[in-house]
Amino acid sequence: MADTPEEILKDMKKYWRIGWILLACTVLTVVVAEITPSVTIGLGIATVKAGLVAFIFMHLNHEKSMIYKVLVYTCFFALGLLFLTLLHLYDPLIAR
Amino acid sequence: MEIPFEVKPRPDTGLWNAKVGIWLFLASEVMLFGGLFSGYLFLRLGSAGEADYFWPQGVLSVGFGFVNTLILILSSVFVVVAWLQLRLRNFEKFRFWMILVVLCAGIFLVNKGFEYSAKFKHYGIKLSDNSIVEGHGIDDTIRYEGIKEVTIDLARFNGQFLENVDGDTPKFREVISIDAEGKSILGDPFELSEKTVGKIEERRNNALREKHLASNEEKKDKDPDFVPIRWLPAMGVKQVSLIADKEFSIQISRKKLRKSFPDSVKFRDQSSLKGTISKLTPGLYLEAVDRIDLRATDSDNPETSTLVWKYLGQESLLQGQADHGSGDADDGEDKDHAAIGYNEDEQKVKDDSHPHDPKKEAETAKKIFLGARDNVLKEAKDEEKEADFGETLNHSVLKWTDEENDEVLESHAPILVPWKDVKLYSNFTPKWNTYYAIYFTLTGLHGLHVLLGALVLLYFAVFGRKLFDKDPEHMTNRVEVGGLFWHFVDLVWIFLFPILYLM
Repeated sequence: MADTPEEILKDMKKYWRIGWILLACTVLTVVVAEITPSVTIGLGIATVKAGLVAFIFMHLNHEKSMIYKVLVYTCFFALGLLFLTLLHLYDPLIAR
Repeated sequence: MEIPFEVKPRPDTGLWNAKVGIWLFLASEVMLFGGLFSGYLFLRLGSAGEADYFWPQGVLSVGFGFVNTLILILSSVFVVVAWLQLRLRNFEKFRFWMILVVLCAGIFLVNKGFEYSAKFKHYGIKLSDNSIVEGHGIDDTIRYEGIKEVTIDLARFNGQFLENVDGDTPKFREVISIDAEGKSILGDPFELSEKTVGKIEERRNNALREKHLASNEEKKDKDPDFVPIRWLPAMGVKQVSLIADKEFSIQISRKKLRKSFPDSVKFRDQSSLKGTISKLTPGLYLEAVDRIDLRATDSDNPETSTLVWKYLGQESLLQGQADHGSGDADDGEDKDHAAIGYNEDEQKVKDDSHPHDPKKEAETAKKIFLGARDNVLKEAKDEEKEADFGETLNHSVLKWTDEENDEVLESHAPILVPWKDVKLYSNFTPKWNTYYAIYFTLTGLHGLHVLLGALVLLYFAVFGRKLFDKDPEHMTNRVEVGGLFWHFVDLVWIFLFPILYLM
């Protein structure tokens, strides 16, 4: 982590740059949705934005290993929840 | 006592306490929102099968969602800048950026308030043939006349129907018993209230209890081994019938009732009144229909197959009457608008500039619907593909340009749906469909996070000076933790925006 004032000011510039990229990505999401209602592209851009927020703003690009361990477990179970919804394919009322 | 590792990191993990705490908390938040996103996915995939409704798309204002996304992203940048200002040991600049964050949160929540308000004021009616009309300006006043017989639930009676009696409240007589010829034996007239009902309950139950105890004694006299049965409140009287000393009417908003039938009405406290629906309130009235959805009706003949065309253009008989209030009467303030951005003044000028003929408005609405449908079919034919079912039979009927005749059609048609043909009606809340259930759950919970996060950050900005002067490193750590929460709130919205507003 930056400690000297110069490094901190450099970081500030970086955060602003990421902020502008995020704003641009938001405009892109709306424009793409106007052109093609693609779920994959929309969620793809959202994932990129979320990645930038998590890795840059939340400093996950240089965190301690304990935090990564916590997050790996969390993501595993959260994704598991999402995949549970696939079970609807075996719903006897729908999948005859 | 000093708490260790509040500022300096633990040597083994390299982390200070609050940082471990916030990440564990955020992990639980990921699970919470993850569960809700799974719920969203489940409901949405389910609606693509054989659900009894179509998943609404494009019902939220993209403009509002877009602006809110920009605001949250900006606030995320401001938070991190504020934190860096603390690291530069500049409290005043930190305060400036933090207050900007709180302002962003305020704008976000106000925008959300407008969006919610539009949903609360926008109504949908599902007719008995499964066709749907949407619009604003609901009047669900229902009037029952010729009421004499009333049955009340002694335990639940709360006097709700008495508050809705039109005119003087009559006196009531209790039906004490019914003689061999089926004639009611009535008690003395009294004024009905929760207090008098309490007295009736007490008197009747006392009489029943005494009878029960006497019966126990009698049985015990006959059989010494008989075990007496204890008196229980459940053995008491539940309901009582009352007869009014004169016929009366009630007028109420239908949504406040438990059930309504052509010849009787049931209140939420289980009071049941026998009477007939007044000709003044034959049905549910919507002042201006803005969308018609016939996807669930006979899709081959939309010109004739739906009840919508039958009832569109009929005006409420209560229009213009001074006393039709059910407590929810639509005054100017209470007009509800389908889309955010609906300009009431502009609409009023339009309404006043030409005489409002409901029948003509209905004809125009039908023309718009069928014209828009033909456009979709034509476009599909030109492109040699199958027309999208969702776009064929679900159209806004507010405005449409007839390109063949170079004419712009606009409609403002009312509808009066007889009560027997109202299958469901509601404003756009979870009652209307599961889309709104998950929409309000996700955005409401997220909004609550924005509010609480903003309060914490505001606390840092207003009251942080003392800690900053004492231990700037500690203050910086606190703000980092608050900032991490704020970024998480932003992160959730980054996914909410496309899935709710754009897909």
